[in-house]
Amino acid sequence: MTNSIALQLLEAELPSRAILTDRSEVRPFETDGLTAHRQTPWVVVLAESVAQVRTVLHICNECRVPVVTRGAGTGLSGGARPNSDGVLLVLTKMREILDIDLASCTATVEPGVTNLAISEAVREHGLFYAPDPSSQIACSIGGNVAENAGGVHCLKYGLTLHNVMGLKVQTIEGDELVLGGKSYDSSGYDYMALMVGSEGMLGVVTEVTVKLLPLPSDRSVLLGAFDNIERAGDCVAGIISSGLIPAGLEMMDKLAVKAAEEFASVGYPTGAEAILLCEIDGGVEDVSQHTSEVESMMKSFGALNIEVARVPAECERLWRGRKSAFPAAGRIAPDYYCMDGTVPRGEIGSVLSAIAAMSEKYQLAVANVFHAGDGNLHPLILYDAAEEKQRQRAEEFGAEILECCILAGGTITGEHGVGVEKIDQMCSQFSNEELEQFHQLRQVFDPNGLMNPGKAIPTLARCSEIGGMHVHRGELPHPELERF
Amino acid sequence: MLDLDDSDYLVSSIEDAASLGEPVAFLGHGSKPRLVENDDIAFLCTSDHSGIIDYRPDELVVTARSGTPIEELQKLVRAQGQMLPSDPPMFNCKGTVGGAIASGLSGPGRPWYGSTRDSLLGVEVVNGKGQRLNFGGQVIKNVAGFDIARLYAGSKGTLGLILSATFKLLPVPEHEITVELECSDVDALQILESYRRRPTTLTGSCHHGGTLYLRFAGSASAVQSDTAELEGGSLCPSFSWSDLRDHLFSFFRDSSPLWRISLDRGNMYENTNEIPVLAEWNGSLVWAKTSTDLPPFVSTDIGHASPFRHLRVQSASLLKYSARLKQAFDPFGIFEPMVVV
Repeated sequence: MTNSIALQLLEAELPSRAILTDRSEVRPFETDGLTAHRQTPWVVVLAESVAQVRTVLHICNECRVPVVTRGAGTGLSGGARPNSDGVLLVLTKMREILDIDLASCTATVEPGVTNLAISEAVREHGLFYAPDPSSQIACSIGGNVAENAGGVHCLKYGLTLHNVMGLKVQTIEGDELVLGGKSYDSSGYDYMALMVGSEGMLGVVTEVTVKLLPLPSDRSVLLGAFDNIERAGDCVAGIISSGLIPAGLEMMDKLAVKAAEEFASVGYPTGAEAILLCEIDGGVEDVSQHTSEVESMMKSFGALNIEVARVPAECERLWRGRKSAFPAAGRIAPDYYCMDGTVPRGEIGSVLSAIAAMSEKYQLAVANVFHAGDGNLHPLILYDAAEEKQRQRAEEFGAEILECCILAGGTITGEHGVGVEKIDQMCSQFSNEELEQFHQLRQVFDPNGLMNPGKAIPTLARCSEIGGMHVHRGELPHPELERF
Repeated sequence: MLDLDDSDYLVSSIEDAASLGEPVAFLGHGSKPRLVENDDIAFLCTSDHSGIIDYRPDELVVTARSGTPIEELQKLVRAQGQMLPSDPPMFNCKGTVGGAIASGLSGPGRPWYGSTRDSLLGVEVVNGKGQRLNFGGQVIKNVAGFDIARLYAGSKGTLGLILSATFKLLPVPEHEITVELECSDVDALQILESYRRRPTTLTGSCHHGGTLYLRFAGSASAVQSDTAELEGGSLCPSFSWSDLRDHLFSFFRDSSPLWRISLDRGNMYENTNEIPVLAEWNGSLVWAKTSTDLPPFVSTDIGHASPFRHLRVQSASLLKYSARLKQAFDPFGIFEPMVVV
């Protein structure tokens, strides 16, 4: 048996504390943030060094054992779900900040360092790391790179991709790839773009150099309450086309506002159909000017009530409701299923209406809380996992939302990744030839298909089995045919 | 602006080349120096594949065919108060969307506004089997599948033909000025570093011949407060950032070998040999004119250098994976077989 040889080799090469095989020990690792999907891993390795990572990869490659890399396990698409016959390579013990270089305004860290720990380590120098996924207190930078994590400030500061300057990546064949660095560009193909968001399928990130930005000297947060969700959507388009780039622009619907208010008591207007939260940051002069511009724009789009926070404590209060929206949803229903489709901003209104109709159809409530400025929707489908029929309906509801996003010219995932969760919808978003190109690209780095197998890119056989239909740029094949 | 869709012809030409195993290269305006002269290669011209496919100003997103002139694209979006932020160079006043992506070059605002790759959201390409493929899309956040769209940035025609591309745009700043001041290399770097450590409206730098030129852009009041503290600075409205971008300065306008050196941010070069240099991008992009193998002030631990014209192309690192990558997109080896990216 290759697996038993692999285990012997792992035990010979690694300290015993790094290897977990007991069912009780490996159990906490059977799921990531997508808890509906569970799988007990065969072996868990808690790697402590790059050398140990290389050893694991070498043994897995020699014995043809699958290997799934995991950071803090906060991912929402099941990207780190283990394999029953594979190694789960956990990197949370590699959490040293290796270097803070003030001359280049960069920090070089190990993959297990949490997102927030970077910003905290450099705050005294007046700097910060911009991408801030909601899980930033727990999620690791290695996982952020694997998923190309976003957050509420992407609109102005970009995604993980735009804020990572250098990577060290270990391939399953034993090569260490040193990508990028501290300069603005590098020679050769843009491997950095490939590695960021590759969901652990091309290599294992063992070192990350991130760009640090100066902390803005001032900021404000505006809350606009609307009696109509479409008017709030129009206001988003109005703000963006006016030439302003807010640091964050978020929308919450009535159910999300109500849940957040009950959870966090921050003074949200629970009577509103939708609220917009808009953060402005930068120099003092710009913040003052842009805040009053956004305020008058909210008025002109029919906001009933506008609250402007100009001091840090007030800004925090307005954000606190938004940031607690997910746990708040967890309080009003036993379970929720978080979707992540992105659509062009102009389509937000029509997609929200379609989601409301689906909510009727599937008889499940949905709370919408999302990054309106990026068109990145997070419908939270509320259900009870204890009832098998509800769980099924929730999954079908989610799948229909994603198809709707593709039809609107968008994508099935804006920041959470495909993982196992959205793998079937990949068949709708991409043609067979495109999926084939993804598979060929994967083979460049992993010829034996051992890195995180079965995730992110469906096989063509799977797509033909589920009968998914490829939608090109929002156009169904044979649009003349009626579909019911 | 021309509105021509020549994609059927372009795709069938690639299918033919693939079936015959004949090499092809893509030619937009031919504004950039070719990396390798290759007499046996057939040129497939994209200039008849031009025009805007979709432009929605309130989305800050534009999709254009690859033969679209950059100048016309910028003119169109400027009319709506927007800009393609990476500001790709237009050598000889020319340059197409496809060429801007394939070369991966960006203008003087790159450290502040991002690179051409950074603002690229999606592409339609033709691979070496003649298949039309779409990667990325029209939205800012999109993590479905590997980011193949951005792989095409800087791929220099080796992975296939770009048919069209979608870019994220930015609003044109309300106010923009240029300030000049006399200073040494060391002083220039110190000034630039002080700007990097705090939020400012700086969006361009050029140090050449003992003079530092700085561009500030933003609201009038913010620009005013950032420039007020610059000692010895004076307004220089005649300085042209587009001439710098397009290599129209006399520094660039001779035929001597030119090196492009990308330094680690915050690093300083010691130009002891008095080689003619020009530094932009906060001092991190240095142009040097020398026929020696490598400008003597560059060492590999502070950055990397590549020849821009008249020198042999160096081979890249990561050769094993680069060869496989090329094979994955171009199994018959028809795209720019002589070029090593």
